Amino acid sequence: MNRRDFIRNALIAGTALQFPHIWIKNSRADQKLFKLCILQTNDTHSRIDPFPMDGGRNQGLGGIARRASLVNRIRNQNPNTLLLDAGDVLQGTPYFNLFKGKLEYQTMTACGYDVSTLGNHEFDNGVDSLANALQYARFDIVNCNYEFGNTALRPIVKRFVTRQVGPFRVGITGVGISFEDLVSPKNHKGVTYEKPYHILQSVVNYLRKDLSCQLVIVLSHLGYRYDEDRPSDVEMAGEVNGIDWIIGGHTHTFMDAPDTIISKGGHQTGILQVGWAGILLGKTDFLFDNKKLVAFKSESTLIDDTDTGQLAAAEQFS
Amino acid sequence: MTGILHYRRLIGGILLGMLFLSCASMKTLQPEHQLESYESRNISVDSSLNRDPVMNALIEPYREDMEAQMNVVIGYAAMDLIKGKPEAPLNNFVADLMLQKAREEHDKPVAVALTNLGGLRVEIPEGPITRGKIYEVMPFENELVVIELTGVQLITLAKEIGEIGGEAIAGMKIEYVGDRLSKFAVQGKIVEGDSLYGLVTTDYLSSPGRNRFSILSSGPRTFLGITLRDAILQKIEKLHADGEKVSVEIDGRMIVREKP
Repeated sequence: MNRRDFIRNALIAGTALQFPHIWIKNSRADQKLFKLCILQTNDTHSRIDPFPMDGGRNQGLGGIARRASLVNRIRNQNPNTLLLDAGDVLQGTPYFNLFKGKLEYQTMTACGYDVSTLGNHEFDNGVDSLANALQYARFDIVNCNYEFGNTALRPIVKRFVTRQVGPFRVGITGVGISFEDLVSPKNHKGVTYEKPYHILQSVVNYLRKDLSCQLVIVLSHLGYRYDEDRPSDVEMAGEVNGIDWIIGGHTHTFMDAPDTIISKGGHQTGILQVGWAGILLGKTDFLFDNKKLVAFKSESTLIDDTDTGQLAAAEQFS
Repeated sequence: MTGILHYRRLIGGILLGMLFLSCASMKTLQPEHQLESYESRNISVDSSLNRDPVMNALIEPYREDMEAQMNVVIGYAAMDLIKGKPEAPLNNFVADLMLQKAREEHDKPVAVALTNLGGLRVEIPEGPITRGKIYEVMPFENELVVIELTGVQLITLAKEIGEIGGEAIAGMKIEYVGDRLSKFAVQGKIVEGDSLYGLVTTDYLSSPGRNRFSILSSGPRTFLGITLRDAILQKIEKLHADGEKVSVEIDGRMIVREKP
């Protein structure tokens, strides 16, 4: 089912639709497993409000106030939850043009985001403007393959972070795309890109071995896969050993189910990207048996909007 | 719907069974890092989501401010301003106003204009045009810049434009047939190879390190101090103040044909 069919079906059904994909060893399914929940978005592109009711294919979908309700509901069910994002938070609606990113990061903070990374559009108004906007992000921003030199971003962006969730330690880092043909040199002045795999491998090793993380997650703005030779999530999963989960972005890919790739070193890595604009919220439960990750179960929820007051406001705007 | 879901579940099960086998065989590499079988299914949830009131209260003042600025009608379109290759109304409207603005702002002659259709994000339907619509058309803070190209460089650029089927252009006529530039004129005249021509484009399209239209970054740029979006807004506001609607002619400035 492609995305269009999926959304059409969801609208015909008139409900929010969930489509979980479960990786589980049957013999262990009945046992008591620790459930660590990872929620994810990517390429939300300043879509604070749902898409306006203008006849477009995404009308009425998305909106961070609804996403916040869903996140709260999930967190009430399972407090062992992290909310992560793969970048391109900025650009796409006049909210960004008028308020320069402040509202996007304020609302993400209010939504309870734990960690995000930098997409290419984060740089659209230049490095200093981004640093100003990030003052409103009361959560971590990670990236390991940009060099920030002496720019205002240097003290803000971390190479990686760890989070203790129940008895488990989660290591989270981020990788960004090459600026070439995407970001004007004046807008990334002082920030340089490095090919991600080598440095990422050292970060992943450090997280897994030195910091004893049981779950290693990469927030990636590389893009899902390409025909031409350039870094992508699929290639990264093969080349870099020790990643458990890649939260993808940039290519706005709506995936029916996560990909699983076995790396050169024999590590199984899952990849999931949930389209764009906050239309979907990705949710993956990582199941631990004692100290060992044994399975994951992934589902994405469509954020639809049947709140008539909200739709009226959106229509006015359109 | 339910039938489809069951069918998908069945197919999914078969595929997943195959995956299980392949994973199981690869598992011998490093078993502790491999998960085991999976199953996939779709379920629907019949409760709908309400908006979070705290979040909504945070957004509301920004939304009011944004709507107050963006819902303002600044002019009217007499026709659908669609974009397209090789030539379409939105292409010509934007390129023409770039050329006009550059001639007002720049102290040397400007002969031609070029911008990329990929940067014009949405089209403008017939009827009232809001300020917000122009922010959707051109969300980026791209600034107008003028560069000088020799006639030879301009011909190279025209070929490149023809190769990709057209872009938004003004002040020049490009006819590209098969894989060659068959006609090219600037201001209705044949291009002289060693003459200099002023070209207005955006800082984005002329930034160094780009592959496409790399000739645009070969010389110094003069920044005009106005964004493309502001130039579009000002043009529509000016037309509106003069009692005119936006109307654009297709004049054959950009022709791309297969070889006969």
